Amino acid sequence: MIVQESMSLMQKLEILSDAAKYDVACTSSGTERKGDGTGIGNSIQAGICHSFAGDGRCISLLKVLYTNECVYDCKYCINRASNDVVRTSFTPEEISRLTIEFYRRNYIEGLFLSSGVKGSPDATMEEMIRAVELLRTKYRFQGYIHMKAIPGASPELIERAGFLADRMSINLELPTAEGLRRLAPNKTRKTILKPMKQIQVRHMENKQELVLYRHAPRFVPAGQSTQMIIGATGESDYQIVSAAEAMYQQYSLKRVFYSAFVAVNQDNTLPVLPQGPPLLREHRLYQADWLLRFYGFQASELLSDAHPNFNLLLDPKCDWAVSHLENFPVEINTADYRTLLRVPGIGEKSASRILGARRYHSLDFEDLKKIGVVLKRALYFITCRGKMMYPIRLEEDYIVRNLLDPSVRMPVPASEVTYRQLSLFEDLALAGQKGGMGV
Amino acid sequence: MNTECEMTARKAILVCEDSLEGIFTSVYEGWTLENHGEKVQISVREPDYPDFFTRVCPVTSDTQKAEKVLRTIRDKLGQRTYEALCFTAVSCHPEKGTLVFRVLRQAISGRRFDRRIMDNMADPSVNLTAKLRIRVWHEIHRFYGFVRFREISGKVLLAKIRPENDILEMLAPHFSDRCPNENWMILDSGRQKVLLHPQGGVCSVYKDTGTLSQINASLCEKDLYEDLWKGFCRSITIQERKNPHLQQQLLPLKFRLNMHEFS
Ligand code: SF4
Repeated sequence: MIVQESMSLMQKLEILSDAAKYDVACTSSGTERKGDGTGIGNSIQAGICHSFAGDGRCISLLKVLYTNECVYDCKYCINRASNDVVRTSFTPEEISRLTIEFYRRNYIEGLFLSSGVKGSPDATMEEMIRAVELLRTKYRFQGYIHMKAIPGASPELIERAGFLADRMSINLELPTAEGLRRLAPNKTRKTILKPMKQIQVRHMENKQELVLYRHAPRFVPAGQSTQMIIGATGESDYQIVSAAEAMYQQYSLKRVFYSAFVAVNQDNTLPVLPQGPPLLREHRLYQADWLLRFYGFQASELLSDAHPNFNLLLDPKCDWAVSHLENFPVEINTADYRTLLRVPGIGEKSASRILGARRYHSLDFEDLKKIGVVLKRALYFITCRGKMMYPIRLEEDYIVRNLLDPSVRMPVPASEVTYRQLSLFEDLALAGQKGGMGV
Repeated sequence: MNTECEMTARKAILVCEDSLEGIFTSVYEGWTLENHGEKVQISVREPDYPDFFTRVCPVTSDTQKAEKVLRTIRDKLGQRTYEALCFTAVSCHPEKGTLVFRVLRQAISGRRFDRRIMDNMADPSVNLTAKLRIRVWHEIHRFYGFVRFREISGKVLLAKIRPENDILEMLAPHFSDRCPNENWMILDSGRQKVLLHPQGGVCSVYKDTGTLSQINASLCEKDLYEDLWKGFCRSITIQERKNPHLQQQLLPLKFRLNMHEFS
């Protein structure tokens, strides 16, 4: 291993942020905290994007590894022990100083601290905690901190970290235990799930403590998240979405992130992806994830053993709707919120707007357009005052063909652009509220 | 109110200063006029060609009147409507004054206050107001992230922005809470005013040219952390996922002017 001893802060930052870039989560959402006036920083529930990188991802946190000196050998990782890359580590003082200086200039909302395994999980976790302790005590930093738990670290260290961080995460890495065994031989389901359970349980206990003592210290107030690599192993979308669903239900995770596999290493256990990372697949998984979390869908409604993968040409909600035509059409002026949410082209915002606006008078298609409903998609599934927008056959093939066909144009009013912009803004705002990554 | 206005006119355009104060003073004045049968418009610019039946009345901002209107809105129509109307009033929409007035006339008739007026999205004035609210809210929220401070001689943090809507003052609560123990300033270069926060103190707005030219001179200084930040933004990008189109959609070029990572 080539460990460079004397290295400028700039070089370290380049190496250790470059090594951290494959971690997806960069959201600063989930904690609302006013500054107490004694130090620096606050935190906004919805999170704040400070910039956007060249790949279009939001930059919200100073995302770095503490060190890329790693004794583990995960096949997919650029920092695996068997790779010949330049290694370096920050010191706790360097990390905390850099965070504060970036924060003062309004570059970031806080710190995302991950790490390779230097020596042992405990030794690594100790150093990370020291850096974050400096931030919280010396600088009285009240901004956002996301800390990775190192699989295998002792429960005491997880506990200490949890009282310093806003969010913690442990990467699930791969959707199945078999995949993990093959590609991350030093990690096991057990070393990943054990701290996850600990954080969940401690978080719940802490909620109780907070009810009794409002000023009790808070344990991981923004909850925990995890991430899975997509497309490195042969799992189906159904397996992935089911794994995510289990994470939400059994570990009360705030977010599951999906990371399209990027082939950084040559290895016979890894697929070669000549077309680049499976980004569209990743996108569909995020859309499905959204349906699980906010639209009341279940994994088994969206996919099955007979239909294990998403249609790449159709978003998961349309895909579900066209194969469940018996539930449609839905009457806009009478349907309840949950039913409206299941209509393609109607989101949370427009569903609640429909409920609000129809108290004034019954709605027609023109009103829906103003409200922000995407009629191009919705028109096959709804009626207004008992009538459909156009005479339409409620047939799967016919609808799919129309939903796919880009030449199907709506008669657009002159102000269409403004509406589109509006819904774009909302999507963004929502994405912020719901934790960063939009779908 | 200008009493020399032609009394037989059917339509009155109240012309006021482009500020919350100006617009809500005009709402106050316009209310009585419309009760007496005149159709009221509120404009922050002199109208170009007022027609024969229209009289143009200049309105002088009056803090007490404006506050009275704002209090009524907040108390009787609720926080949501209050926010929507304030955001509309600082927006850059040319008809914003009239828009605020029309929404209020609908929400208040006699003693009836419709707290859910903003739900009536099928109404054109409400719809546009809701749209402007989101647009302005969104700009404020964007600037929470996109403001870039530069440290000047180790003492003061200085930032320059050029917002579309008049939102400078609305940034004060957030940044005061975030950096209470710093001296910082944010300059709105389009409107030539500066929001100033002294260490441990409260914000105020300055428009005098002395302060402004001093700030402009200081903005040329170099801050070493800018290179670290630029390096970070470069190395955090995944080359295999490069997507300048998406980047531009999320971070339009007009914002990048004052962002050091793009200079
Ligand atoms: S533990 Fe695995 S994924 Fe993490 S840095 Fe080491 S090799 Fe990479």
